[in-house]
Amino acid sequence: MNLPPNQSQQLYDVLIVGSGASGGWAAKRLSEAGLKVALLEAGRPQSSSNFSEHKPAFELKYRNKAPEIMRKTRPIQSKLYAISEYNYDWFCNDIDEPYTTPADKPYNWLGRMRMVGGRTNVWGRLSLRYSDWDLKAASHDGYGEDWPLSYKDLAPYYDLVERYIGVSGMAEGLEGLPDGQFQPPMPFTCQETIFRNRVKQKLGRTVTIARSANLTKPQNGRGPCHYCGPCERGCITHSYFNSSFTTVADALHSGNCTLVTNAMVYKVLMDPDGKRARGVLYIDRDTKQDREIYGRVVILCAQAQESVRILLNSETPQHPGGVANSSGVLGRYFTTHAADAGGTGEFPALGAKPTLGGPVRPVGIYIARFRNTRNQPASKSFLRGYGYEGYSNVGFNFRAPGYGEAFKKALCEPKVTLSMTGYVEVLPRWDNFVEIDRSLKDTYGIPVLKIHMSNGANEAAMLKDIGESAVEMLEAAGATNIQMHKPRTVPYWAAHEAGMARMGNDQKKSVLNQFQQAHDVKNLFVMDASSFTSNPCQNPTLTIMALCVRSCDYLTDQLKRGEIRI
Amino acid sequence: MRDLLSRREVARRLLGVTAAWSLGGLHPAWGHLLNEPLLAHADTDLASADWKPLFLQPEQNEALQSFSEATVPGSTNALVSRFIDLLLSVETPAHQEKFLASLSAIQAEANQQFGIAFQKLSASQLSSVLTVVSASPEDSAIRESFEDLKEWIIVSYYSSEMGMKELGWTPNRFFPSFPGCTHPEEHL
Repeated sequence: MNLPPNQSQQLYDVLIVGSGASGGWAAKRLSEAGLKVALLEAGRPQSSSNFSEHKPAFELKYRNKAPEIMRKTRPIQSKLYAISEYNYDWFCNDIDEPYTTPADKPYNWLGRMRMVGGRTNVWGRLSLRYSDWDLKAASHDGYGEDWPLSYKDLAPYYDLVERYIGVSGMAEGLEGLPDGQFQPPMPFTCQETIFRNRVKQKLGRTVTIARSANLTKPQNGRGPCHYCGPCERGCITHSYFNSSFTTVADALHSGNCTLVTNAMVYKVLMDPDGKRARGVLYIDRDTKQDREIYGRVVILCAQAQESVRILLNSETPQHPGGVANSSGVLGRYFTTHAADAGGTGEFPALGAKPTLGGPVRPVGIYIARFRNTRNQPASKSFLRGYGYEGYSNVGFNFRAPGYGEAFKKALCEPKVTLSMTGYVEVLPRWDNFVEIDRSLKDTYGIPVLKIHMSNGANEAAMLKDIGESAVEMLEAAGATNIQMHKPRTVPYWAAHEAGMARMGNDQKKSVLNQFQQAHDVKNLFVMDASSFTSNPCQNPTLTIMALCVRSCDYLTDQLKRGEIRI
Repeated sequence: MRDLLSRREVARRLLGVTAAWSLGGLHPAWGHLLNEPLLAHADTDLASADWKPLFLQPEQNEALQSFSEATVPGSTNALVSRFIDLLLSVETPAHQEKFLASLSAIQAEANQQFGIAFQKLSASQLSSVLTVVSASPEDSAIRESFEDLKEWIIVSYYSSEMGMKELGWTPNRFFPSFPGCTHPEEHL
């Protein structure tokens, strides 16, 4: 832990809560601008010594008893694909840090990280821009609210972020999925090439290589991807973007940033008159003691639900129902992505052979949104649209018939599949929300969240269309043995949560302005996805980072102008 | 130090999955390959001279060992039956019961054909039994039992070091590039 030397007296220029995608950027941007920053992280320090992407299983600590250990302590987190014994202690202990839901609305709050770097330790790395089809969606279809900014406001920040984090990908010239500053793309397989070309030719839809924060050429001391496979266990060549070894490292290198780890932030501390934030109260995870730390500006980057939980827990006489909640919408319009439905088909091998001895591409393919866009017919059954994440695989034929040596030979006949899963915007609705559950506190004494989330008719219609369209594309590409993946009976949502402290121009209908500054408290900012006005179907992290940098530049300017006192 | 690919990673590659990985609908044996705590030190422990089954009865283990070797040659050396026993020891009661029912069905078939226990069948007798059960109608109970056991064996053998090497695995985890499509006509 890197505690402030004289905590009771030290006054930082800026306190930043959370060291993930946005917190790392805020720390880098503001500390490099000369501001004295304290970066508070609920988890432990991260370093390459924790990375295990090449580590053999026999070196792991736990043996046969460990499944019980993992499930007993992380019954929710263990449902995420990225967790394993290699890294499960990077995730929060679900028993120590519970949340609640209504009995009829189960919700898996996944990816609650407790390491410097937050979710960037294990994220999927897909880095996609939003367009004005997304940011001005309400103007297109009449539902909800437009974002209080447009693509031209964000574009230079997308450029800046992409150049720094390193996004490999290819330009497609799509209005709805703007091109970016790409490193060379990873190549398509033959099957993906067939699929891409035929889907474009017959249906006019774009299948592209996933635009991913994995380097394909060296940058800033980071090496290119070495195609070993499991990025979620770390990367000794620092080839994927993880804030712990990029933005946070830069911030610390500036000499202006103090990293405080194991700091579970409980609430924002307000001045007696309720007009200014003066610091935060946090619980030291090691000692479970309350500690206060003070700053002239407070920025929450704790992850969408976590930041809103802090705001809701910060209520004062001047701020009943949570700080910065004069609108009454704090906690409301919770949205995420339904990650469900899709399809699989088989393709000819074209000379490819399955092997465990070859490179593994860490990214798949992405099928850009084609519903309710300019060049495709509007859907009659739903608003907005969806994208697909997909991948092809040259696999062994484990379903080969027979036994003995004949089976072993047949096993090695390649089985080539291409699969895809849809990602659906859950429309922001008042009745999807989070609140404080006053009946329960976590092990640190902090009241927990109660999460209310369900899909509506629009999402159900999109999920149906996702399966049907997947089959349509696989048929167009000439796939065989096509299977439609229908939506699961229990909804499955990606860890792409957003909303709850949304931006807007109208103070009566939003929590933050376009610079993620609280309408009610000028020295309080919320720079994670809780600020999103809606949740377009593209993965959110690139936009989280671009928005954050833009807001940090605004903050710096405001400080220089004296609009925010320092 | 050996540089082994974890069984979890093997599972990912064998199944060909990346993000949003779900094992829904797959045979339960595959799920164990995600279970690193269970698998840690498994290979070392299984090779122990004083190994004893955790779940199976000794005669069941013997039958399984014979069946495994005949189904996927090399299984004995890869300690497949011992590994399956380890997986079963932490399985759900439903899956445990299903496995035992499948094993009993195969043993009954052997007994019906030759009147002796499965583990005592000669090589030609084993082949005869496997030929019958593997060629039975797909919806028959005996074929279902065969396929159930076979999948346990496949998962266990091909996630062992021996099986992995058979599928091309080497200790090198650094690859300079990913080979993409090189067809100039791009399959149009």
